[in-house]
Amino acid sequence: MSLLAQSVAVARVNVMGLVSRPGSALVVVLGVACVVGVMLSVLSIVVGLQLAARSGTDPRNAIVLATDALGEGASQVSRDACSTLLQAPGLAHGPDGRAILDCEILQSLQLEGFGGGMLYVRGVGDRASGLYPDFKITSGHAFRPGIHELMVGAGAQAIFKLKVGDTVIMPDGEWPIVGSFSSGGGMLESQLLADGATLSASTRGDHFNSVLVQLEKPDRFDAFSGWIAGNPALAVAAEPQVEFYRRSVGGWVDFYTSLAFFIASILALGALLGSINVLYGRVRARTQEIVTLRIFGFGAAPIAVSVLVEALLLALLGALIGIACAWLLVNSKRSIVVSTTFQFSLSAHFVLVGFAWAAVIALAGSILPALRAVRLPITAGLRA
Amino acid sequence: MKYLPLIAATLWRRPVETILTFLAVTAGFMLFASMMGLNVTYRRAVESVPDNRLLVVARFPGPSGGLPIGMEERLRRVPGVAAVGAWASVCGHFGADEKFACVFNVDEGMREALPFPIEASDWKRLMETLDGALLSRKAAERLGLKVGDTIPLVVSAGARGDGSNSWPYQVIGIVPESPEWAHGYRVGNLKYFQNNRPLPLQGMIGGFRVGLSDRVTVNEVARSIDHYFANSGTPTRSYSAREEASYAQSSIGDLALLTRLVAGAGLFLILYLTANVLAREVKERTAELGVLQALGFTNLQLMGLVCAEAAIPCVLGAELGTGLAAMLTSVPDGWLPKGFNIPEATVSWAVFVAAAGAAVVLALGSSALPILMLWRRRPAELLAAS
Repeated sequence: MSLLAQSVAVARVNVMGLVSRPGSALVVVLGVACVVGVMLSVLSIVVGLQLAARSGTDPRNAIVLATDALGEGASQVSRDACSTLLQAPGLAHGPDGRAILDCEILQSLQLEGFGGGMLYVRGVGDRASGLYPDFKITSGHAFRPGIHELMVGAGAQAIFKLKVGDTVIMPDGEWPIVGSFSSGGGMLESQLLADGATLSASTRGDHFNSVLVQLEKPDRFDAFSGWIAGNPALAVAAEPQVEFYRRSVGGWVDFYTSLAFFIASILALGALLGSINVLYGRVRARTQEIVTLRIFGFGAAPIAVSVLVEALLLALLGALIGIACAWLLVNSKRSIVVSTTFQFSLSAHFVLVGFAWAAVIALAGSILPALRAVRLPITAGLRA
Repeated sequence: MKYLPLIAATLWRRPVETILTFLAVTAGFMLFASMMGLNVTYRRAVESVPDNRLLVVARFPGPSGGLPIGMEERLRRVPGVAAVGAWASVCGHFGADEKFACVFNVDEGMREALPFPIEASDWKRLMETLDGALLSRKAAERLGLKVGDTIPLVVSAGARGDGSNSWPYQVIGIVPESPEWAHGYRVGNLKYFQNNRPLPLQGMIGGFRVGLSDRVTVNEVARSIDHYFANSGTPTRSYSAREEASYAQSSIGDLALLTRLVAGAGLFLILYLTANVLAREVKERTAELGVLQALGFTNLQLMGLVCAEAAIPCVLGAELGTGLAAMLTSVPDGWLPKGFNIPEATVSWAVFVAAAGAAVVLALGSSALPILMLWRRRPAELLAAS
């Protein structure tokens, strides 16, 4: 019998014996399920934030903020700067020959009884439709220029419990929500939308917060930002929109990624020690079986492989259960981090990471028990 | 006590397995205690804020500021208000490594409205030095600053009246910590802020802190302030300082759910592991227990032995795990994005006691099934099982 055939035969006997010892097998399965389930639940926040940051944007878009502004909310771009930017090189133009450029206002709202996050109203102009490629009205109608009307994004709708027909208190009275929209799951969905000029009049603001522009091609960005840098009187700086969004959530992405692996490492240590303990017990319980196999001529390697295969199968089953639990418990649920709403999402990449962790726990946990199985003295084993 | 050698001998019969169980329990409780510590800290951070203080901010805050300073006098006259202080923050970065810092600029009224643990002489010096800043010890350590240093904060364009982006502060003193700022604080002089704002924005500040007299409720005063300013040019939103403290927690997502999920998973893992190992141990020792029963050990004594065997690695592992968690609490804190006043987890004595309690419950739960098996069998059956 070849080494491979021996390994397959012993592993098969071992796996079939799992049914007779379900309690100890479940320790490995549930231990790994806990590790993978918790790790993927936390990592689904990371994936959700990353998706929100890169969705609903165009790679040709660039955002212009005040120099050294800590964020869009704290940025002030003068009306003069907004007009001057129309002369910048590299701007894309619409069919009517006008540059695709929108000077936008961001107004934060303090909603009664909601402390979990900040809701923003974004005031946009008539060029905005070309800057948000996945923008789609999902119910009601768009706000009308000059009228006190708002639209609510899918994320804000879910988190702040706002719907078409509700009213929101604005500086000059109550504004009705006349429509809802989606934006491919992007950051815009976390906000309310209004006509920029009407919002500006309402808040009596004399500045814009940002200018969103579309360039002819993504590689025209250097020419555009170089031209801005050459006009220091504008006191603004440009950044690709995707990069700006990525930077906005970057701190939280790093935090939740580190947290997920920190928690998973400690849980994995517990599962690993548990697996070693259980597999030791299983080797001990199978002492006579293992020794008998050795007498029949089975080599040490197939017996060691059988222990490894058993642990690997149990761990992969645990990983599947963990992934299923994470999927059922958190996937597609909406949450908010500061002012960004997002959907918990599992990614194929992190599911593979979950399987890899399960495999590592299984292999690391089965090496010592496999060595013990190999080293069992035959005479002592028969007396056991 | 007389059975201690017997218990020790049983535990040491398979030292590798005993140590592995102990270490697995340690790992599980390390996670459990970290999560418990986080929850305890957040609860404490919210509860430690006195419930007789209000925050008054603009209902529609803009980049140019929130409320006019002129509101301060009117706020003092609202029934139930005992003290009012105005504030405005200047945030920016400084140094080659772009350290982020916010200076909380306050006026004289803040001494009563939000009592800082600052000596009267230091406070007087701050009020007399326009560009002075007092830093708490933690804040000074974090930023690597000492008395006499300058903090050349780089701020957003348009924040200063002279068109520059630099807002320098002189460190004039290092002061004790305040429980409300988990990562330390930096206090400046509001006059310095106001004098350097662009002309149209001078007089606009971030908001007010309001101290209340004892006999009023926070919500009543908040409502009457918001009602009074509802039709003004800058409507207000007033809420309790305690409410604000709970915002810090909710601002990092549904953390409470997350911590419960993780603590639950950790505890479940160790419960199942310990229960399984214990059941296997008792099963393997059935005949030995039968001998003890035949020698005159009562069922209660045998149950005590089984419980003790489970409790010793559980309680020791729980306490070691909690101790390790106490050492590790500052690690996740370092990963948090800058500028959030989120306290780091503190593993208090209460957490150690809770962990010991949980370990005992865990041991009892783990030994329940083996005990049930012992209870149902007679000595002859136990001996026959060998």
